[in-house]
Amino acid sequence: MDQEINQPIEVMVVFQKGRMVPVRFRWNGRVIKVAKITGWWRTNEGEFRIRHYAVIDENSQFCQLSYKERTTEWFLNKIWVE
Amino acid sequence: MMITRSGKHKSDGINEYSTSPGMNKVQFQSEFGSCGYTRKEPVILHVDMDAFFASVEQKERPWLVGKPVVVGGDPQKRHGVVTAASYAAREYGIKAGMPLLTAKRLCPHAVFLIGTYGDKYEYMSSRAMRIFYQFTPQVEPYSIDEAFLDITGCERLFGPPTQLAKKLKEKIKRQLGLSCSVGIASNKLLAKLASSLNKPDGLTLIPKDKVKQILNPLEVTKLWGIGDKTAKILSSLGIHTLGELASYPVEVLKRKFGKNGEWLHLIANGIDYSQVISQSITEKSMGHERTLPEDISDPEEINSVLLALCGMVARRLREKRFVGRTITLRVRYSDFVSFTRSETIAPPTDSEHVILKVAQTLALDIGSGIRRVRLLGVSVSHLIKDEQSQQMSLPFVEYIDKRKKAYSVMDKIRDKFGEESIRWASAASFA
Repeated sequence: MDQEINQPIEVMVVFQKGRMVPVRFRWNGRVIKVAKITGWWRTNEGEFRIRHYAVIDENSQFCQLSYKERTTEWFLNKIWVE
Repeated sequence: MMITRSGKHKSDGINEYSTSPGMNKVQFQSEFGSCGYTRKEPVILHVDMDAFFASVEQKERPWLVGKPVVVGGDPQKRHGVVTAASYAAREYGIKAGMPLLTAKRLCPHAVFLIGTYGDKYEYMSSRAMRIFYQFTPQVEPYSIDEAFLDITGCERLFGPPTQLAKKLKEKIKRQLGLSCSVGIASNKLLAKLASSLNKPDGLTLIPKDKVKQILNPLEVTKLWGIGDKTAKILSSLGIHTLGELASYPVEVLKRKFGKNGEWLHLIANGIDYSQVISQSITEKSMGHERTLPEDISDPEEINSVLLALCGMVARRLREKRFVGRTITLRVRYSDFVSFTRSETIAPPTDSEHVILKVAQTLALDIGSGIRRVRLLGVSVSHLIKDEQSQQMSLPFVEYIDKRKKAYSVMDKIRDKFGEESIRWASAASFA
């Protein structure tokens, strides 16, 4: 099941074909490598966008990340726990 | 002639009553034409995304594909109802609208996910709708996961209807990673029926000359618009199938169902004159409802929730430049008994305080403040465009809302900083 985390994280991204793609992030002192992006969508906070990413990491762990354009902050929103 | 009536899925992925893929224009003319359609007659597509919410979640979590997945509300917020179930979950009898507890009893090993409403699914839906618009400008979004497309005359660009439908399905699959079922027919009623005949990932054509053959043996509830209540009355008349309904004397149906009797006769015969119309024209009402974190009976608490709901409704009305005349309040008490009351006002409004005033009166009418309330909902219907209302309200200057300026400023602040950035001090702060 999903577990809510909603903690700020540091993220390394690449800009690819006009898209911002998260490639690794640091959470709780651990660097996690993104293996696959399985979903993405956008929401609005006023005139600012929030970009959401559903990703699978190198250990096949599901994580949901978001990037707030207004504050240029990244968050880890959810992880999957058995 | 490649039209089949096998009732089985063909290997090319096009189903019963369908044409085969790869045919050229001449073949289309002869085949589609021989079904009773001509180029000038309407060709309607109904696209239904398969188990939409559950499929979006499965796409993000690939290990859940093929497993029973249930998307529902957050039980902690007491939104304990199934909103979508994957096809594997449906095999256990799980259906949308069912309490989550019942779903858990039916399939304890299913994966239960809390849906993220209002963002992800709407975004995926808007991407699907954008794909539909690449095939025709005549798109009528019917719900978040369904749309009607009028593709009359599109064959020069995309080939015969079945080829267009295949291209559309491929595009949805490639760009969104989701599957959909498509029905093709000469009207919306039959197209919707067609899409439901071979789910999931179906593509079904109902040829004009096979309408009776297809409809007659089906149960009456298969048809869009015939619900359980109507089916029960029809059953008491000895009518169980569409064939029986189609041949039933229309005069008797009229006596039993009034005006709807004639409509039942028409739809049972596959006749539907409704047009595919664009979304902006089809807005009929706007509303919001919330299950409260805990039951409340204090009138002040109820009022603050009502103000928040009225604010959300009014904001949407102003955003889309609508005003409405009929205000409806929905209340569900702690014992799950629900009431709905409406009042029509003049002139039409987009003011949360006018809507609130009516909602408060309606709330008193149904005794809230005495019994404990579990859910509150407010909606506004009988909508017209704001420009029309300006003309209508000119003689009624006394009704012009003094708060209009405040609304305008608040809307601008919300536009810039988000919906939660400002609220009336007396409005409840709930998500």
